Amino acid sequence: MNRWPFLILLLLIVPLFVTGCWDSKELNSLSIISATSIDRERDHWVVTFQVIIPQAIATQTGGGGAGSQSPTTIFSTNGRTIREAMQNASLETSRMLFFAHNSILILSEKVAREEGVGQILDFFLRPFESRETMSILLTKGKASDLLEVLIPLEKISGNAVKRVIDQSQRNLSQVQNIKLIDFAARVADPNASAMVPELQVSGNLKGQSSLDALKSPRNEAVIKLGELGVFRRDKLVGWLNGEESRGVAWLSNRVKNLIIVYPCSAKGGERDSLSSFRVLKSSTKLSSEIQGGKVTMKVQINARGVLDETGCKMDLSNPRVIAEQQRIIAKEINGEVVSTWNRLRTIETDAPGFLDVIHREHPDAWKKLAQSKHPLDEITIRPQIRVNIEHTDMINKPYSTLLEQNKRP
Amino acid sequence: MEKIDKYQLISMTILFMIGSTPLYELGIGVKQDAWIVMVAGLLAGLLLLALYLYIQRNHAGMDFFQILNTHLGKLVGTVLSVCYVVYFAYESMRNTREFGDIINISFLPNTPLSLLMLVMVLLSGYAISKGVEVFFRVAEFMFPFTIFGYAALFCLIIGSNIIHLDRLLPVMEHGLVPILEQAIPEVISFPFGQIVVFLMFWSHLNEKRKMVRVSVYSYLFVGVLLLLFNVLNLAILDPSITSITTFPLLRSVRLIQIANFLERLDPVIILLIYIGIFVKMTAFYLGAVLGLAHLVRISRFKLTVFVGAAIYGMSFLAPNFIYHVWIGFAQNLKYHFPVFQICIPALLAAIIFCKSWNDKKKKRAKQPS
Repeated sequence: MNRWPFLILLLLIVPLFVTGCWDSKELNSLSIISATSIDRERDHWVVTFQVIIPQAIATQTGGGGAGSQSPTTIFSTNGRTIREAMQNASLETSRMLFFAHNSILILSEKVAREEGVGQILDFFLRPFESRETMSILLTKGKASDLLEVLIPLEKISGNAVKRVIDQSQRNLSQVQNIKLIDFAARVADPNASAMVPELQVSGNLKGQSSLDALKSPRNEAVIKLGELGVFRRDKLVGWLNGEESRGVAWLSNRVKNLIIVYPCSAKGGERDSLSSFRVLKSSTKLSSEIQGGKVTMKVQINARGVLDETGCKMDLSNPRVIAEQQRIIAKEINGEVVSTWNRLRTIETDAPGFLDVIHREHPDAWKKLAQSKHPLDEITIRPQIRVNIEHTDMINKPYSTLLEQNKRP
Repeated sequence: MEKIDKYQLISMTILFMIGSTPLYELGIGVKQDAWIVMVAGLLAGLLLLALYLYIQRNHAGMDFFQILNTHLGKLVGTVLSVCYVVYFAYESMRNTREFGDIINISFLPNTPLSLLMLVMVLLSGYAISKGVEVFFRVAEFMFPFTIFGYAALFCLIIGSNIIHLDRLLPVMEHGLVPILEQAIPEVISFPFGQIVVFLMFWSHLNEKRKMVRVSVYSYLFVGVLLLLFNVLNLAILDPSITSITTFPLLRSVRLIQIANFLERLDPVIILLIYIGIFVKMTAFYLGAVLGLAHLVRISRFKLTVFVGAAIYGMSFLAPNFIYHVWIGFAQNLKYHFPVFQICIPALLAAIIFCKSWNDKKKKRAKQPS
């Protein structure tokens, strides 16, 4: 009887050494994927991976990866399902594909428009190693092309793209990083549309995909963020240009940092002179009102910022002048918001999630709207914009006033 | 008689109730109102707890099987005792299989399920073979780590700014009826009604007077904790994604990203869940062993081995995890568990109440004469 506890203890200890054997993964048997793209060719999915080559990035000196070896390698495979395509990849790699560090997923316009993203989302939400925090991007051409472009300053272009998005989101609110999980939630939401930034190559793609490209200071091609793709349910239905993506940012309370360029006077007189207003803080409040079956969406925008640059001649220390400037900026924002809304209505996508707001505030009115064929046509918006110029930075009068004084005798 | 103190009871109650519950989104059938289902379940569960405590209070020093035998007679008592032993073992097996599959899905897809479950059952069996006191001390020891773990996760979630409370609106879009339909009996049966197994342990408490207060406070504490994580899942993942996700909390935790280095914390949540599962499966296992000890006179150790083997064997009954979850959530919670958690205890309490009322009447009748 005394031996029993000992035996049990032994039984408990032995499995500790055994667990993990079935699932051991050695680092040098993995090929780590940094970016993935999905295209569609006839009835096949074409999945392209960008795989990091560890030897090429493991150098002490940073900067551009101008070594003798490309920092990443790319291969494409196809299959009837995405998983089959991935599985076919193992026919041509020496290492097991490791997905957990994939940071971006690029979809081609064709896939998003024709196939819809339903199956893609299903696939990427399912396996444990796939991360919900990867960024989603769209491209108008072949998605795999984007993975070929080498980016200066960065070694792994998948990570570089992620940084470009993060950086531009911080400094320019029209671009919004969208994580897989948020994208999936937006697509599933019947009352809102998902928006995904477009990634494009501008320039000569061939030139920038060879390693020699990084040796010259001027790039043959650059990867840059472009328009904004809007979805209706799981299908891409249209693109919003720069101005419209700013309008959407205003409407959906995403403006953090933005430059507004505006003319000196509301009449647009001095045509050549423009000023820049830099938004530092902004909030947008959406609230719906129902009056006699009509739905009005109140859009209260409150933007605060500084005057960053001006070519106009005016006395900026005079509060009345500043008030006038604020009015012009508000008009400018108003224009963006209204034109964006008109565009959204024509492509019938509810990118800012107005229906969601109505659903939350007036469930009954929402029920009526949800049955209507063109619910967005029944909503009118009423923007109320308040702009506050907090200061004019380090100079309080435009430099151009000095030039005026010099003219005088 | 083995003794436990109130801190051990607090730890045990809280860890037991946490179990694997945070991992699931209970009441997701009503989408954004799932948390209201949770509140309803919590309150209804409190009534059940009061019922159990009422039964225990009238029989200090007796455990559930003894009470059953005293009030329902030898035959019915024995039959019900056997049923309860099976029920406890079944609940224990549910947790065993569940965690085995969680590990299979999340971390070790190629490791055989049989081995994962064997390790768990052996560990629980070892704790039980050491007795009630040791098991409660283990719970007391693990309690601070678990609470700290959940608190840390909560802070990290707040810190990574992924909570969208507007996803909880509109509240009660379709009224109260669907909410109550979800709450009763499903959310009562899991997790709140499971506390029925404490009828096996309360008799060991050394300070009997504190039993009610300690139990109710622990229950409320853990109820709020579960409610909190329920709300967090909805607010982080959106009701739509939550409703299709196998383990919503695991997914929510995977979204934590702080300062570009603190991310991918899924091992933490799996560890926390394992503590809960371990406590819950061991408590049910222990309940079955203690119950069986009343029925057959063999040593505790042999009973432990026997029940452990039975639990391990039963855990292979479901052919796959899908079936296991279906039978648990769609069948057991609705039709089977309420019998053990609500019907029989209610019946027992009614009998006790009638008896004591009768006694009082007799006393009163006697007094004037």
